Amino acid sequence: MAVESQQPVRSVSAPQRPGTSVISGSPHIDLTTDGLGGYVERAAQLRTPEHERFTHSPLPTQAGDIPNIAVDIQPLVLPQHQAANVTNISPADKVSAPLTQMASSLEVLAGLAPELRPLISQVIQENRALRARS
Amino acid sequence: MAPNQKTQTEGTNLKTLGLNSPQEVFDLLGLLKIDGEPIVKNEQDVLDPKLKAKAVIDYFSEKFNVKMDELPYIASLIKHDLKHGKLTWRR
Repeated sequence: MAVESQQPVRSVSAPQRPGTSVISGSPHIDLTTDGLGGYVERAAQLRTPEHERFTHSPLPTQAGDIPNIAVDIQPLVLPQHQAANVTNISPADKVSAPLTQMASSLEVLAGLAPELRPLISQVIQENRALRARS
Repeated sequence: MAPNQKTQTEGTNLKTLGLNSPQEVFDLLGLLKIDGEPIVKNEQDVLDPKLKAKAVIDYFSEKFNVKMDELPYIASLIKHDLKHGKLTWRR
């Protein structure tokens, strides 16, 4: 028996006569239905991955469902040589690593969704203006 | 992925749950008495690992709609509480 207990898990006395009990008086664990239900519930929580436990966000199941692109894009960082090729960004912007990364992500996003290009250009322009002022 | 890194593809990793074998899952759950009624009702089933496993699976499926692959988690929690004295053996 694999249970780490010093007590015998089951005491079986052989030979058994037909119809006699083999587990009478054997150790057992008493629980109520509610108590066991609590274990079942805790086990379900234990089994659920962390990200599903807290967000409960379903994956897109239909072609029309659009995932949260911003969340997917956020950690994306292009290699430096690719980031340097991003158009519409001044050399000054390329100096700033975080801004370069952000611009790279924006560029990727623009590639994924061309209709967002005007908006992304506007964001980049506003960032330049902010940096110029500061 | 590193060459020595294996992907868990064959169900629950029992070791990480503190369990030594699949049979231990059924041994532990087969010892439960719920409201005074043993989960494994037929005494002969206790001695047969396959029958014991079937009795345990059937019980949790019928009473709690729990699938077989969820049983190790329940057994793990019960084993944990036994080791820490929150549950005790009875005779």
